Amino acid sequence: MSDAGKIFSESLARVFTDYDDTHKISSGRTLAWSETLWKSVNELGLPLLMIDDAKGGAGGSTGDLFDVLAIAGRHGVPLPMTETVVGAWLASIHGLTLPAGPVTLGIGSDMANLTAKRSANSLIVSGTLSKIPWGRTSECVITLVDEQLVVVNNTGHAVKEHNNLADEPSDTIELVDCEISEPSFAQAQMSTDSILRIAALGRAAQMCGAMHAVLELTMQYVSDREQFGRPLKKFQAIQHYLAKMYCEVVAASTATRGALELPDAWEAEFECAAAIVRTREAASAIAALSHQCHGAIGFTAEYQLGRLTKRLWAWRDEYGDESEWRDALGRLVLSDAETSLWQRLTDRSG
Amino acid sequence: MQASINIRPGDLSQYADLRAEVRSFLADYARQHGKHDWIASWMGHSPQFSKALGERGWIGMTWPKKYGGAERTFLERYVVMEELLASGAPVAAHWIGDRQSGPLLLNVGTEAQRQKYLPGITRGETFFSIGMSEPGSGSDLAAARTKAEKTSDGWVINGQKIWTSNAHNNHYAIVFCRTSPLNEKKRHEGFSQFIVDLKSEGLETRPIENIAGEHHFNEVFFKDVVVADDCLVGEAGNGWNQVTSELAFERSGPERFLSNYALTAKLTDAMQGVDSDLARQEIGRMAAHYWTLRKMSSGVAKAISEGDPPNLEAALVKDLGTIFEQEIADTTRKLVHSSDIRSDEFFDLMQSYTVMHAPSFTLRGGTNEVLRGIIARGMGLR
Ligand SMILES: Cc1cc2nc3c(=O)[nH]c(=O)nc-3n(C[C@H](O)[C@H](O)[C@H](O)COP(=O)(O)OP(=O)(O)OC[C@H]3O[C@@H](n4cnc5c(N)ncnc54)[C@H](O)[C@@H]3O)c2cc1C
Repeated sequence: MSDAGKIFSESLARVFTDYDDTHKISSGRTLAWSETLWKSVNELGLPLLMIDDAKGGAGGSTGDLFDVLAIAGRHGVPLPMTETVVGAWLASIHGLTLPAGPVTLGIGSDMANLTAKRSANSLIVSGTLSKIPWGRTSECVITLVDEQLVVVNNTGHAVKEHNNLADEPSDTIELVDCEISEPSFAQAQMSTDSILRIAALGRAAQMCGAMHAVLELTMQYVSDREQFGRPLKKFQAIQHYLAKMYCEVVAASTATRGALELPDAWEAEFECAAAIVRTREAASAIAALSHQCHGAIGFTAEYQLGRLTKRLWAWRDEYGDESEWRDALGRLVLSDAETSLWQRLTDRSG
Repeated sequence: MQASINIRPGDLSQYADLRAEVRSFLADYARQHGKHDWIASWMGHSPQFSKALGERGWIGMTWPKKYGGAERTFLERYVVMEELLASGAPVAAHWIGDRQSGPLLLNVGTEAQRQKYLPGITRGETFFSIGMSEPGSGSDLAAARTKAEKTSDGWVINGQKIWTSNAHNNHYAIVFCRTSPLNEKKRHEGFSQFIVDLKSEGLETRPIENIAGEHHFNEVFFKDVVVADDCLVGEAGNGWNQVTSELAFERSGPERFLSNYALTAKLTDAMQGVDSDLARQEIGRMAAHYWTLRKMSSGVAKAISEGDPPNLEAALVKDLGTIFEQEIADTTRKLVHSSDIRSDEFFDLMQSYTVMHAPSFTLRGGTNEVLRGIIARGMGLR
């Protein structure tokens, strides 16, 4: 991790903690979009994190994403965090200008189903952007069509509001002959798969943060709650559940951080998919165990566990669902008799 | 909770040359001697193989040169170990000496003991067993009752050990004994460790056949077995602390998720080109676990190389790793039955071997319940 990542994650941690304190976050309900919080995060310069120094950015790399996004996940921040950082980075690489304000992504076969026509200096794009995180509150969506990376301004299109199961916006946007002029599109310098890998790893980092928060909350709960005259944490069954949760958080975080820290991480087909698959599996295990340790209180809308576990459940299937990623990884391993699994495991052995 | 949620992996990419050397050594050895016994991996006992490995300088690699070591790093050792395990090579003969008995002597042994035992270990000629478990003392190691009594010129050992792997093949065992009477309030005090020659007079080794029909472990009886003063390891009475750090070494390596990798290699080779959802899903999941465990496990090696005894991390990796390798038996069974793949006798043999050995993965070296207790303690829950 570079200094940029360290400074950003520390500042973000302060902003989020203040926000939690002033809003007395203790409910299980997902928070709505917060303009104030967005402003603080934006003022810190979050979108600059991965942009080159030479272009006025903070000069960070994908390796810096882990801490920054894990902090956001840990606090359950109601903002398009992965989308903002990755979107700004993509725009910068491609020399595209973004409108001021939050950005989101429409990347991947389940999200973007578009066609484009070329005219003199513009692209005419039509089709459906679906499951767009925070679509309704974002200024623009970055998407791919005909190998062009495109910034779609969000005003003037029909937005159908949906929520994921964590009540976060996951909207559908219909584009009808939407004209995109230069410099809002450019020949894509990365494949859809590469961009998807980074977006999914960003989500995975948020999941690691959320898992960490679930673990801490559960540790606190089992220390406070008493049954049979002693705190729950004195029961061996409960200790073993927590040990299991800890194993899973560490596995997921080590994998996700490890993949993000690879040089040119977006090219690392095997490693990224492995980290994404492992993290999603951990999320399911952690959600289940944390609810078991909490008893009925955890099953209420009021108690704050749900705020985190619902995100874990929803995020498992964003930027490619869990079985797609597993399938892709399996296909990779089984598709090339010249390269053994062991070679793949040891090839880029960072 | 203070503990970190990350393990920082070791950087193994710098050792590509060493990895290539090990691979070519293994290929040559297999060409000359065949691979029929390369199923058991670190359960497979082959003095011949261990000797060949010792000649390459790949046993006790991190130890000082004056004891026959190569003064290489723990990460280099990691590369060698994982290549051996991935191939399924029979490494049991030297494994314990390299992994724990040697390091124990390096840590607390006398100069004379190091000179006497370590060079033989590194040459792949001297083999060690672990004498911890007893009939009444499994997970609860502090219940051990085998006792050693001081005499004028040494110690006399009486009692019984059990599950002693390869006691019938090896030269020595490090035997955990009670040397002061039990104090119920301080159960962990009053233990000592001894190097015992397994051919000593009064020592009797009786085979116990395992569920797979093999003679791997033993009962070892001690009847007035006399050992000299210079067989005491470390300090008398400090056995508990010593055995605890020895166990951390025992639990820390890649053998805790690669025990049956040879089967995985066979399986993934045989499945090449199979086009089914189930195959892709299962193999994809497997790959994700191996990749993650390897990151975590190399992190444990890195921590050791930096002088950090990684008890907590080692317990995490062993808990996750052994449960995962246990599942491989069933994953293989499911995939083989659902696809029309080429099988051969060796593959069939490997499968039944893994099915029968799988239960031991989560027992040997400390059960997963015991490991979870260690993790819970590390988390501040106990
Ligand atoms: C293949 C193999 C090779 C071995 N080789 C050696 C060797 O070379 N040298 C040697 O000394 N030993 C060896 N062992 C022994 C091994 O260390 C023990 O099997 C292990 O420590 C467990 O002890 P046990 O078998 O007596 O089971 P027990 O301790 O009786 O445990 C039985 C079950 O009860 C559980 N349990 C026990 N205590 C607790 C507790 N406090 N809380 C929750 N659950 C608990 C255990 O987790 C386990 O599930 C070997 C074992 C195997 C399987």
